[in-house]
Amino acid sequence: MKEKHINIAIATVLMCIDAVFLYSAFTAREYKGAIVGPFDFAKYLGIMLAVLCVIIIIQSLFAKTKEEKIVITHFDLVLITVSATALLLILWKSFGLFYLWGLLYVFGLFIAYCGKSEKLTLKKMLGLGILSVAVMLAIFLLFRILMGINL
Amino acid sequence: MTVFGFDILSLFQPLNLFLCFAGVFIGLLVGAMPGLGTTLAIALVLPFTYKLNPLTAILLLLCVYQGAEYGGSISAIILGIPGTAGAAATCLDGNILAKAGRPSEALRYSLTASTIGGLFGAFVMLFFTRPVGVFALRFSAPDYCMLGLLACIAVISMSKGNYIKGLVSIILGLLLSLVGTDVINGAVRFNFGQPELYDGLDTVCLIVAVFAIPELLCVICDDLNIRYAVSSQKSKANITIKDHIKNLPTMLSGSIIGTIVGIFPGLGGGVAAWMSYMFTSRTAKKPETFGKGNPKGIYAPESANNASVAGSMIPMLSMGIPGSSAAALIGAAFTMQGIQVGPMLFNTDSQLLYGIFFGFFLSVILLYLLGRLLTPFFSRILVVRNAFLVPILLILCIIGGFATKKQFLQLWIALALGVLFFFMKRSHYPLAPLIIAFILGPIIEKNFRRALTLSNGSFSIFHQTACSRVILVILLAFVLYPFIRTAISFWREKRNKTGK
Repeated sequence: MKEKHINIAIATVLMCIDAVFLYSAFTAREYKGAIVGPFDFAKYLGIMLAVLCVIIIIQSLFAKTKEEKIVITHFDLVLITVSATALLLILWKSFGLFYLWGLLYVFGLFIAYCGKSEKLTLKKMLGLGILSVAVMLAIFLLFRILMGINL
Repeated sequence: MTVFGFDILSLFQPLNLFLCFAGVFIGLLVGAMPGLGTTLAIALVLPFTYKLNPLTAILLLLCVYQGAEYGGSISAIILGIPGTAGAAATCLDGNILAKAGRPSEALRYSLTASTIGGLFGAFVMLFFTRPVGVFALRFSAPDYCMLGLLACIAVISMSKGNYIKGLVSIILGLLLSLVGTDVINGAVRFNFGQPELYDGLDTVCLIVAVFAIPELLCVICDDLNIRYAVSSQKSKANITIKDHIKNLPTMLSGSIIGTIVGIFPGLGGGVAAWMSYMFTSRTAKKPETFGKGNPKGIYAPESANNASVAGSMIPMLSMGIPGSSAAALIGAAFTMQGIQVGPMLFNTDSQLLYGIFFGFFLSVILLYLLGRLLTPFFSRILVVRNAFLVPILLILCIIGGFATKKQFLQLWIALALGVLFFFMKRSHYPLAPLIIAFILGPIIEKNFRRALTLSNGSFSIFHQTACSRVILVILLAFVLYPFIRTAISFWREKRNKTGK
């Protein structure tokens, strides 16, 4: 993907986030008597951010230098990682049992990452399974037993 | 046994010692892995300091910081790939020595230099933090506001990246810091009806979003299944104390440069190491030997990058302004503990400060001991593939983000922002200014509003006193520096073209 397109996309996303902040700031109630109210600093920042994003968009559209391509190799693995993380959060919040979902999460990611470069035999998958159990056991000992953090 | 009113023996309590050992170990481990770095090491440990007492928490993080700065040199020397920015200069001579069959020697030079640099920095921190803090009492609201902005802008001015993108990162960080309850009026801002956001965005979750998630996603993209080959050749390091003493002037000059550079926000261990390397190579009797395995090429950068650790803590402890992004994370730890860093800390909690100063010496000593014992072990660890490390680090980040506030909303925000920041990182947006701006945001806003309230809305308060004018001039210099640099290089290019 060309750098110009990614720059424009990111600037657009940032402007959307900025628009939300500016809308909240301008529609918030006024604090009479305050020289600088609680939302005034946000207004200044929001306007500056909008201007800078517009500059980035204009720079990207009219750049004369040779366009660089931004290559995100293994984008499928990035998507898998983000989706797996989101799924972990949903399951953990809905059902608790962090150690169970965490085990499946770690095992799933091991399979996804290792499977990218080599064929996974049953023996290798078993090895990865044992490693996942060892990792979660270490996490349980460290956080639940030693530090008393309830997950 | 009290020194400066602080009972030194309290540092040697079993829990403190154990956590300091653990901190150096974790710092060495993470710092040694190419691509992970100092800030990730601190970000991983930070959430778990919440339950500790303030001194133990800060010492743990300082030990991680020290360990990581030395740890970066392990992969720099063995593989030629720096584990941290501060170890980049070490690659030049360190890796050559390793290829010549002398890796143990190179690692020993690095460890000794790191120890000397760390000790020097600790002495400077012990004797100079208080005078800087006393001087900082003269600063008023407009000065603190401008100093905070200076710290943010200095980070992007000194880098060669896109200046506009750096400004975007800073403003985004400042905006995110506004989420939550306003400390002056009590107004709840930008929580979008979510009660979990009354206290604002969780610092730990944001640190995970800024440093950990983008970094790990980049590792997935770039070097997930790279296998680093480490030679099993073991050679005994035939180094005597005389060899180290012969290079003491190099280590001292590196330490001085490192400490001074560390004080200035935006520079950090990487710049300190390169400046020290360039100074040493240019002032050496045989400069042509640098880059070919000259031990001074290891002593100089390594002493500088570890001295910069203490340097970066001096403005953090005396003024609340971090000298590096790693120091900013340690500043976040103070906030988590409910402690306001700055000049008043000497009056309110001098015991904590002196505990940190003396604990710093302890961290350097532990670094030397663990470094001697574990460096060969860490050389072996480099063969572990990132395919195994990344899921473990991800789950640790998730636990870390959840451990302090136990709010799922914060984790969701961290995940969403982490993905955004990953794309921003790939488009060359600097992310360190974002976290510095987020941590300094409350100080900047509070003092900005205070200044304008005092002056009845007039901006002239920002250049009323001599102190304010000096800070304003320095701030403007940093703001204009990238434009001046661009103009000069454009003029030089034009002159070269007309010359041809």
